Amino acid sequence: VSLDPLSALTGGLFGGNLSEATSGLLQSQMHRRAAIRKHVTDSLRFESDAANRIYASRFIPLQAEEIADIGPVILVYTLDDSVEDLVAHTPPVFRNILTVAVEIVSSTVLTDQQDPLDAIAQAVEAIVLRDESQGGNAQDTELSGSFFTLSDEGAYPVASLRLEFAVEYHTDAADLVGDELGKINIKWDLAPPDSEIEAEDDVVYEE
Amino acid sequence: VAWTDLEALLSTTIRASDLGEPITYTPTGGGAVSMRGSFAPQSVVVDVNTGAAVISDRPELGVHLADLAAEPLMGDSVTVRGLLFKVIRVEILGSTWRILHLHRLAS
Repeated sequence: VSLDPLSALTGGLFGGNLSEATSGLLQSQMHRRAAIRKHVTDSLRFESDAANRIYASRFIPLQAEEIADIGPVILVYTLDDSVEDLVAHTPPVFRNILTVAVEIVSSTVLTDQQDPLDAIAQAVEAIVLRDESQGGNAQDTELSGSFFTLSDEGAYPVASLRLEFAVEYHTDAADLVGDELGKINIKWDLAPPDSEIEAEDDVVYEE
Repeated sequence: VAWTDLEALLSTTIRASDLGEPITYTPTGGGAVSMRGSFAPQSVVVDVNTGAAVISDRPELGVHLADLAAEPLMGDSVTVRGLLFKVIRVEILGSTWRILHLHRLAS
């Protein structure tokens, strides 16, 4: 059985008519988030020396001992994606603020890891902010916060510095739901209203 | 048998058994001491506020005070299984044992 793209992507969660009706909404939003995440990941891979130490998945646990051997690693993932209407737009335009997290994790014999992590963070910020459109997928990108954490629980001190970027992108409502208005049926019940239709007309929109 | 005698007997037995193994303990500013300790590394999830779990081996070493000239201190070093560690924290376990939390050092 061949699945449509959305059903294939969602493991058949959306199929048939539901898939067809929602494909614009779901594919558009998933694709935009994924595209921004991919652009950030690719930029860091191509423009830094940490290519094989950048992970776009959070499902594989990191091993502190391995990090101590190979050096700091970088995680890229997306967090919140808030949505609001932009007023004075017809059709409506949705303004999304997507939080993209870039985490630098190090594990070394050094107890003072903040300076090295800050140096890496400076390079990461320069790469991510170089293209604020994230490959044409966003309107703006800003650094919204940095969070440093240190633990001595393991065999080596482990430190992380998470950079959070607020990435703004816009989505036209027409792109989400499809603009398929073709005909309006109008009925007139002249005053005083008596539920009797005195006139009726069809307004047909031509492409 | 007095409790203290029983405790001393147990401590001696533990160190001499397979629970103990040879280590070299070097106090800060002091000479190295060959002794036995109970080395028990265990895997832990290190919480550094990351999106992915970070897993590490947490090396812990139990030592008996009778084998040392003084209380173990943070910053002392110890060699176990050919690996060099630094003491980063000392926990008291009863009146005669200390649990040392260790960090790896470059050998």
